[in-house]
Amino acid sequence: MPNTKQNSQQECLSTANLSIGYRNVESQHTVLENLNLSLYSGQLVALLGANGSGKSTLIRTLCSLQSALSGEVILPSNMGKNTASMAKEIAVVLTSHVYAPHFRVYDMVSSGRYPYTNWLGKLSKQDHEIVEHAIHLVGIEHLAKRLVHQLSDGERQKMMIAKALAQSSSIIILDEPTSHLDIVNRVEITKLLQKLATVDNKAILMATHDLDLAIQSANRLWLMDGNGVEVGAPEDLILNSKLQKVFGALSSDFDHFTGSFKINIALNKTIYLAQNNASLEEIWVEKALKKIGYRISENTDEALKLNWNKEDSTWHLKDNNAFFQFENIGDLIDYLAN
Amino acid sequence: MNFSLKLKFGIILSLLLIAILGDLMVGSTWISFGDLVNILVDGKVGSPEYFIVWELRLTKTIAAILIGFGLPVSGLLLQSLFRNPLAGPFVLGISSGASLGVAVFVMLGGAGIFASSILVSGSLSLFSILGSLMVLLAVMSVSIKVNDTLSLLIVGLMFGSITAALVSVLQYFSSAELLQRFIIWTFGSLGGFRWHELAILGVLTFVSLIFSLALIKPLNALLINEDYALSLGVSVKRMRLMVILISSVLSGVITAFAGPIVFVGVAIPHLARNIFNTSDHRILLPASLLLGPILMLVCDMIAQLPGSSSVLPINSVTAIFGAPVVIWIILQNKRIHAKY
Repeated sequence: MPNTKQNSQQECLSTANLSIGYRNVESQHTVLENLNLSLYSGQLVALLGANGSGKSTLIRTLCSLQSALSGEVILPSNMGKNTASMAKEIAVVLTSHVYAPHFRVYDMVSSGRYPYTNWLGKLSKQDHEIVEHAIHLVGIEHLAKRLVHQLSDGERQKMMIAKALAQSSSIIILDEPTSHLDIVNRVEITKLLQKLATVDNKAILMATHDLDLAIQSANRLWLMDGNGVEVGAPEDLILNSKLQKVFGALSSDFDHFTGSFKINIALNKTIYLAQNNASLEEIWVEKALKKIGYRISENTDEALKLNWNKEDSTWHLKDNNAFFQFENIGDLIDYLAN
Repeated sequence: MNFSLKLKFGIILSLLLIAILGDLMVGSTWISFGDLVNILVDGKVGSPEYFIVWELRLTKTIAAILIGFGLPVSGLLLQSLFRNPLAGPFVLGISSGASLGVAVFVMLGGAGIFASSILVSGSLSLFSILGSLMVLLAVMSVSIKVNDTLSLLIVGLMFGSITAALVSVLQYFSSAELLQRFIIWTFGSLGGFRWHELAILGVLTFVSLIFSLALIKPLNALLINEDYALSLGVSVKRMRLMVILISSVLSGVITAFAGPIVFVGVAIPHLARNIFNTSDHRILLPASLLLGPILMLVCDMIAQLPGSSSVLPINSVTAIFGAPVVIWIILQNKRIHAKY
C-alpha cells in the first residue's frame, strides 16, 4: 500500500554506534552505548525513562553540548562539528535556568536569530518577521514586551520554544519542557509541539516524564531501559509490554486500556452504595472510598450503607444501627477512615 | 536608536568634552579657556603656558583618557564572562599580577622605571602584561574546576594575596633606592607619561578595543546562559580566551605605566548599566568607553588639588571616589544580581 506520509518524513538526524557518558582525566563513565537512532521530520518523539536513565546526557550529546564517548551524531549537512552551522539545524530548549537581565521576551526570542545576524547581532527586516511569526505560533504576542524575569514557568517555557522556532532549524530538541508546569500548561505545550511537528514538519524530540501525554501525542517513543533505547510507536510498545517493563516496579499499576498508571490500593473493606441515579456525586465518592480501601458492594446487608440524599444534599450513612449525616465527602471519609 | 538613548549619549559626550578641557585648564597654574585654545591652535612656542600644556598636561590628559578606555572595558568583559558584579581587574588579582611583573622588572632587572628608552618602557609593559596574564590564567584554570563564581572570586583574591606577598619579599631584599621607586609607582600617577609610553599604551588599547568589538555579540548571547550560548553557535572557549587576553593586556599595560589604579574597572560598567538600564553590550561597551575617561579626568582634576602645587596620588583619588560609587549603586537598586 502506498504511503505518502512516509515520503514527507525525511531523516534529519541519526546516530551511528553512539556511546554517551562522562569522561574525565582518570576515568570514563558510560551511560549508554551502541545507540543507532533516527529522528524524522514531521514526527514528535518522546524520550522516556526513569530518573537517572540518561535522558539529559543523550540530549546534551545530540546537541553537541557534550562530546560523545565514541560513535557520532550525523546531520544531513554533515557539519555536526561546527557549532555555528549546527545552530541552524538544531534548536535546543534546556532545563537550565535562564537569567537574562533586562531582556524582554522579544529580545529572548530574537536571540534565536544569532546564527544568522551580522557581527553586531543586528536584526534585518526578515529577521524581525521570523521572530514575530515564532511569537505568533506559540501564542505569546501579549507577552512580547514583558521582562523575562516577570514570566511564569509556563510562559517562560513557551518563550524558549519561540526562541527555538526563531532559529529556523529543522530539528528542535527539548529537555523536559513540561516539568514544573501545571496540567493546563503541560497539555498546552504538548499540543503545541505536536502541531509544530505535523503542521510545520519539524523533527521534534522531547524528554518527558508525562507518560500519559506522551502516549497521546507522540508519533514515536524512545524508551530508555538502562541497556539501550527501545524505539516504537507508543501503542506498539504497550502491546509488546516494553513500556511496562521500563517502568517495571510499577507495572501492576499500569492500566492497559488507558495507557496510564493508576494508584492501586488493596480493597479489603466493603460498603453498600445506593446507586439510583449514577450521579457525579456517586462516581466521585466511589473514588474517595477506594483511596481508603473500600470496595462498593451491591449487597444491601452490608454493615455500612451509604446514599446520596438529593433533597438535603447530604450523605446519609448507616453504620450498623447508627445513622449519620455528612455535608461533604471529606467529612464522610474522615469518619470511615477511623 | 531611540531618542532617550541619543540624549543620554549626547549628554555623556558633552560631559567628556568638558572634562577634557577642564583637565587641561586645572592645575597648579590656572590656564583660562581662551589661553588654552590659543596654545592648542597656534600657540606661542616657548611661553611657560605652552610648555605646561604640551609637555605636562596634554600627556596626562591623554593618559587619563586611555586608562579610562582600558580599565572599564577590561572590567566589563570580565564581569560578563564571570557573570559576577564584583569581577574586575583588581578584584580578580590581575592588577596584583601586573604589580608583581613590575616589581620583578624594577627590583631584579634594576633598570630604572624612570629610564626613558622605548626598550625599557616596552619590556616593563611586557613584564606587567605577563604578570597579569599569569594570574588570570591561574584564576581561569581554577574556574574550570569550580563552577560557582563566589569561590572563583575568593581564589582570585588568594592569588592576589600570593602575588602581593611575593612583591613584599622582593621589596624586603631590594635596596632602599629601588624600594622607593617601586613605592612611588604603587601610588599611581598620570603625570610621568612620556610620549613614547603613550604610544605603546595607545596602540595596545586600540588593538584591544578593536578585538573587544568582536566580543559584543557572543557576550550578549552569554547573558542567557552558557549552554544556550553554545547551542546558538557561540564558541565559548574562544571567547573566554579572547577576554583573558584583552583584559590582561589592558590591565597589564595600564598598571605598568600608571600604577595599580583601583575601582575604575569595576565601577564604570555598573554606572553604565545603571544609566542605560540595559545589559546589551552594544550599548554598554560604548557607554563604558565614554564614562571611563570622564571618571579618570575628574579624578585627575581632584588629584591636582586646584590652586595648590602638590598632587595627590591618583590611586587614592579613584578609590575614594570609586568605592562610594559602588556603594551608591548597590543602595540604588538593592538587587545588583538582577542585572546579570
